[in-house]
Amino acid sequence: MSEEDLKDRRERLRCDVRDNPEYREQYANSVLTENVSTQVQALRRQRGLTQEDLARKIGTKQPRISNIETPPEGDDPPNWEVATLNRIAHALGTRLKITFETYGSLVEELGSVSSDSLRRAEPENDPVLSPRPEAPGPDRNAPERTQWMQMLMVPWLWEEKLDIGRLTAWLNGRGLPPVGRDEEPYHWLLRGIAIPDAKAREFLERRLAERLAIVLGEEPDVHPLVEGDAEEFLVNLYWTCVGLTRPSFLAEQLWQAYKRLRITRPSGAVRDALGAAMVQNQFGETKPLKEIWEPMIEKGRHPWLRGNEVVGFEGILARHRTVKPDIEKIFWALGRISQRWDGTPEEQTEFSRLIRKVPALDEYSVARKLIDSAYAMPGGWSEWATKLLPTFHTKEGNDGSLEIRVNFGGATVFARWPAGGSAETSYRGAGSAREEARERWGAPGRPNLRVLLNALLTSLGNSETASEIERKIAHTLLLGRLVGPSEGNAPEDATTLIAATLVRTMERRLTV
Amino acid sequence: MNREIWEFLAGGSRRVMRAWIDKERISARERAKLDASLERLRTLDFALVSKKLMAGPLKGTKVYKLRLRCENRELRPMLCRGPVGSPLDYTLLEGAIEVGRQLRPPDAEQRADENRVMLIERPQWREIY
Repeated sequence: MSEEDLKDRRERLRCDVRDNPEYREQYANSVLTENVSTQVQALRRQRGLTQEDLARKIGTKQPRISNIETPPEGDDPPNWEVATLNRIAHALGTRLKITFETYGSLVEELGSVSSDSLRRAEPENDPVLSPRPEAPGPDRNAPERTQWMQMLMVPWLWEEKLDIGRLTAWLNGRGLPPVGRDEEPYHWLLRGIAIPDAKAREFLERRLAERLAIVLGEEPDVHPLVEGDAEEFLVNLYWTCVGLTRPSFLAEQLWQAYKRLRITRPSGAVRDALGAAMVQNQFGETKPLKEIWEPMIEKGRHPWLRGNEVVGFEGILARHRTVKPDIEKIFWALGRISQRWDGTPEEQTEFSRLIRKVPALDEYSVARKLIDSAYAMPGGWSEWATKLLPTFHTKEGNDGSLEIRVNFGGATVFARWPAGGSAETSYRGAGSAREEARERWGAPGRPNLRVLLNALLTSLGNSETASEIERKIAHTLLLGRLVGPSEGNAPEDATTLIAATLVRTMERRLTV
Repeated sequence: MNREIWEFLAGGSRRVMRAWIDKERISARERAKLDASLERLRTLDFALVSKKLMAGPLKGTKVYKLRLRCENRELRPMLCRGPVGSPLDYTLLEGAIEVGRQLRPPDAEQRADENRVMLIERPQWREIY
């Protein structure tokens, strides 16, 4: 927009406002309505809030916020209550200011309202209340080209102005470190904000998400913003969203893109990137669940997105983590997958991997529910799947002897300590009748659970197959600790203690 | 992020919107509403205005219509994004009025779409609105 054009428009508006009372009243009404409704929307998005979030903050329902952001046509000016607007202002970390202005100010303000001018700093970032820190420098330990990218991106994100021109150029592969085509642009965008200062990085991530949301809002999927390969641009845009995981900023726009694109046939790369972006940035509690994740699990595919039961499971896991805690839905998904699959060795391996992804499985209640859901009738797991669930048994003899037995996938690990003898450990592989790697630990003495436990762990650590077994056992025990002393007579708290110790120890080993 | 608002020139010379405003006797109030809406399109992100001010794209086209309810009729100027030059700009393609769910002219959507295609072929057939 040139200065000359703006000058012309100002002059025309000046004449209309001066000469025509009807025009100026209506123009003022329209400006008032649009300024308020648009600023509520702009600030809500700046804060990364959904309409539901904002409604909750002011004690109302989402349609009320929707009604303010998109007033009914012709309701001009709308019947907004000042008290409601004031509550919204506070919820958004701002104050409401109502002033009476001259009509001439309409002319002065022409061209001054923009997406930038509607944004307001939160109190903690308000430069009047506290001086803004300098933009952080690049990560000096990062590779040179990453530092180069950070020096471009950090100051750009630190600025208040929402200049998305540079972002679209980067997404289009321009202005990036000179590396040719060996790295995708989204890698550089994500590296460009990976600075060590966690607080600053959080700020940069939010800022980038906000600007990505603006780019998504321009609907580049139907209206290319760049010359050249529009699909490549989309792929990079969506993968950047995957890397950020900021559903409050990105989810709605990604969902809208999905709705627009699903009647078209973009490349698999675009669909994969959008699908992954929607896994990490889910719009609402039910929409992606009902339209994408559940169909993927029930049918093993989706009519538009590429992906099978595993992708559907990942979607449900991410929903639990980012949108709505819903462990029951995760258990439902495991049950349905076990029923759909035949239990081939590959499927068993994959299913075990899925079990390990269940969040908080080392918590008693979660593991208990998992086991209950596996054996539930109806709706439980297929038999082949239940066999993947480990069992953990302890036995304390009347003479003080101790035995720990862990069964998983047909294999068994034993740790025994007979009364008056020494601790010993052994392993029996799946399909084998012979116990292997029998080892004795220490001098004869009074059986002690902790010592026996340590013997078991050390034995595993020494064995050639330790790594694989350790992993299996670690996983096994997360579940097994909760199976309880079904065959033994050790007090339950002792069983739990043993298992918990095992788990902690194994976790440390795995971490190392 | 400012954008230009362009106006299609029918036959390369006739400003479709100015002609429509004259023909339909667009009142001062109606024109004020139109001007305020176009100002928002000019200065705000698409996501902030698209649902509020526009409907579309109309089925099978890349044409949107502005939503401006006035006292006894609704103004429905047709426009599109681009379609030439900066992808952020808009071009007003055809004026239209809606009364009782009937468009006037009845083929306004089709005309707008044709004008858009014409403009892609002849990018010089537009001027700043």
